[in-house]
Amino acid sequence: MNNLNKIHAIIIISLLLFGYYACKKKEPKPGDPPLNETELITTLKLVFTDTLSKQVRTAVFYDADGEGPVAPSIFDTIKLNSNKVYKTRIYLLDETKVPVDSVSNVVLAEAANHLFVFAKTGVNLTFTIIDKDKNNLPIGLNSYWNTGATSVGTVKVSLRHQPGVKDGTYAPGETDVEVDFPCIIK
Amino acid sequence: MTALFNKKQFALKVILIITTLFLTVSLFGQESGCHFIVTGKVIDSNTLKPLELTNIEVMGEKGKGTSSSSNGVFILNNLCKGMVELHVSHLQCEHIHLFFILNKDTSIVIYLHHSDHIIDKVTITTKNENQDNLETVNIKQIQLLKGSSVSEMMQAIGGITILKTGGTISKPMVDGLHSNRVIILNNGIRQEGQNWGLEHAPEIDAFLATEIELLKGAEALRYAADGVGGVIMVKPPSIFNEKSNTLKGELNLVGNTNGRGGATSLILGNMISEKIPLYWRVQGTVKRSGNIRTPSYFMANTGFKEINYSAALGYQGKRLKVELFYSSFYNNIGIFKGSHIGNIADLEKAFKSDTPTVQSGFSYAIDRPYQQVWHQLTKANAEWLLNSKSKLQFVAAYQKNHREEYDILRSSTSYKGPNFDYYINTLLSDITFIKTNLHSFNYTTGINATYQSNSFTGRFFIPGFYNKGIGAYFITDRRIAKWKLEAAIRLDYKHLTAYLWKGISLSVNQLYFGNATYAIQAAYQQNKYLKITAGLSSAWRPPAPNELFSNGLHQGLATIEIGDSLLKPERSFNQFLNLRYAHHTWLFESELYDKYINGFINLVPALPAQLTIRGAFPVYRYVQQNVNMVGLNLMVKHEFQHDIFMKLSSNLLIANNLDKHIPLAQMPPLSAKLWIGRDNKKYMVQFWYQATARQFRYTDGSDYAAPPKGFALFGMDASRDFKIKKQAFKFNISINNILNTKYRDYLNRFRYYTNEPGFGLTARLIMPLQLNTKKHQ
Repeated sequence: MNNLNKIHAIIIISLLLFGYYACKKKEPKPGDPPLNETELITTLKLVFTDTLSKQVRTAVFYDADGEGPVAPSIFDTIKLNSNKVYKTRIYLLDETKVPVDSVSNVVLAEAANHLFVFAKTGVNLTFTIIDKDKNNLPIGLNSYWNTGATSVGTVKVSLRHQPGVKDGTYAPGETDVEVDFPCIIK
Repeated sequence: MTALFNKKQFALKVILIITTLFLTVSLFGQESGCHFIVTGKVIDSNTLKPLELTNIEVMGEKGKGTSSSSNGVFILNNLCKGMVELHVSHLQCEHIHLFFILNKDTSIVIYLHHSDHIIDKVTITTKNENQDNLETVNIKQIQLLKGSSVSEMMQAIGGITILKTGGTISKPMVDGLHSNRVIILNNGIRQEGQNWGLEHAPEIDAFLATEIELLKGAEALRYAADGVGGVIMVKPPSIFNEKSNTLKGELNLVGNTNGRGGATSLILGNMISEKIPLYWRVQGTVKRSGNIRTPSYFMANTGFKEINYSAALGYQGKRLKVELFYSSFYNNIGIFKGSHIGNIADLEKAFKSDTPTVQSGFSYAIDRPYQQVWHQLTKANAEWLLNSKSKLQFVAAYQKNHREEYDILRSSTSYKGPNFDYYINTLLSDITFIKTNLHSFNYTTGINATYQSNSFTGRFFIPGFYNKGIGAYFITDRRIAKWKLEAAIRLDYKHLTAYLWKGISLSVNQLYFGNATYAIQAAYQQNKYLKITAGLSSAWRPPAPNELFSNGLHQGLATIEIGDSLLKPERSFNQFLNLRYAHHTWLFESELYDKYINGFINLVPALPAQLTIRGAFPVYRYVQQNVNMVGLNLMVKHEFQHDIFMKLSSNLLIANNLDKHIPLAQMPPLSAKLWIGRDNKKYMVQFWYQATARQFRYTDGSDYAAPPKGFALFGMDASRDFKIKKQAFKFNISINNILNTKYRDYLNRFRYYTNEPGFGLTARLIMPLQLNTKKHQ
């Protein structure tokens, strides 16, 4: 009798195990369309407004798969006039979402964790970041770009993600965006 | 199928169900000569009564023999150290041959299946527990590794090194080959997870392993064709060793200082009763560890937790043996935060800095990035004894693997679910027919079928697919005088259907592969001491889904990896020569091998770098090359007087890309390990020294950083058995990196970012449990 009870117990335990196994969360099938809820940054758009003439220029970097293996389809050259002051606004977008998702709003909302850094080579240009986060450190979504004499080079725009370690410099954290635009000042 | 069915080194000539070896008193000081005593008892396995008048003869020693007395007992005196072959015969049974290696006085129990003339041809190799060899990790070595991962245990096998990702993720590398090219058999079933990934460790509870064995050559073809590197078997104890009236088990407690981790594992089993040959066993393990410390800092977010359990049920009738097994493996591993980088510039900055860019103290918390894996295995197998010489085996197994990887969040509004979420389900079934002929050819033949599906949500790395395969094999062996000849052939056919989405359009790729694998080998046992084995084999492996279709950013390495859907299968041509000499106090084993692989699928850097919104990333593509790998694995052991021993093992590998005349990247550098210790009946203590050279076989500029410098480490192990009242205990400690040496390992993918772990002490308590359940006692 005792043995029979043992056998029953074992059978019940095994059934429970198999049952548990069968009732797990639903999983996709191999042929299902991919479901990717992870965020992407597809577009970096710079909008330059001449502070005097109010003339507007843009430069866009568009990469449909973000950091994926497909090459960017739009990669503009920044063209600015010499000896001007441009108010520059940065837009980061995820154009794979409908409606288009503005990543720059997230950067703004979490400004204390983000920093844009501009680095030039060969061009006569100076940058002044005008926006500040709650700790009075620069953000970089809005800046003034002062152009000098005619020149050709590059401007590297980097977005540094620095949660808890932001100190106003480039070093801490990791890179979320990095585009090295060709730049012409004429 | 289980440890019981291991027929690696000895022929299928043994006709016993269970043989147990108890090592008894050692004769100190008597190193050489023939002073050993083997005492034994022959028991009828059906009636469990002693069997008298059984003749026991020592092969190769004329006139040495005896027969069992009325209580089944026999004694053999003055036996020599080394390999012993006993010929056991009884009037109403066929004769049997029993092989074992003697280096201590030994007592054996032979259960003969006698009265009803059904003879079970299970081979028990009665391998001496102390006998070291290149191909296995025995229970004694495992006891000194409890609490480690299964890959770390495998490292005790000659030629196996481990490929690491940080301090807690590791996978085995056999003679320089890994992932898709190494098959791991967990409890007889091919482990099927996302094993293509370098940072995907085998999902196996190391506490369930009592022996680990590396198969190469003919018998490996039973399990798979694509094990170009080899087949590693992780074997749990046989459920049919359980006894009635005793609830048997083992409790393991492990604690270690580096990571402040701990592990507990319990296993319990029983045979229901003498009358009902039903066996059961349950087992569970819990493991937890916090941040690992290098000599000078903690590695941020390197804790992990692991929860595993398993249950088994067995039935053993006269002709039928059935086993059901279920196991669940769950782990959650933090990924070192300093390895999470945005782009190549961040990576360069990380490896130029001596300390990681992310600082940390000690913590058990597991934060993003981390990985979480749940692996379940359900299996049923049966063995049907057709007659005294043949049997049929059936296996059906279902595995479910769910892997999730979580990246660092870009912002608090980011999607909180897994960024990489893969499901792989595998159904396997086998039918095997085994025929044992005492003085003719033995053979094993069978069919394996596989049905696998893979699906995902989140980041694309490999596509959803169905993979169907069928394989048939024939393996035969024969002993002729001092020779043992083996030959095997296997035919496989595979069908892969992959679903590739581009936006909203789907393209379905159908790929078919089929080919043959073969192996022949010959072993020559010159005398009791010297054995030479040589073999030739050729294997093929179809390209795996990651090699064909991967297309994406590999986060940890900041590389873009691109597959090639036109890859052809690769084919290897292998040859090896193994020499083993075991004479009294000396043990020597060497294995020389050469592998030529035609169309070796390799991930190599390709220009130009890919421009993305996160900067430019280096691109790696899968290409096919002809490669050659020559290596030597070596082991020497000597026992001095007073139970003092010395052991040396070494691995050397030279691997070349024949097309470009450059060395293959990511190959293990030359390494050697030396042990000196004392092992007597009461305690064991050993000190080890491990030296690893710099991988000087490297092409400049082929990696972000040149291979790290060579390093040398010291460590020790000590163990002792004791009893408190009637309870036996085994207690052991191990210390790794005693001198707290700062070093980096070429085979660690995080060598760019961090040093290896520093000093660590591990203490283990192993408590065999035995509860008498008989009421009237």
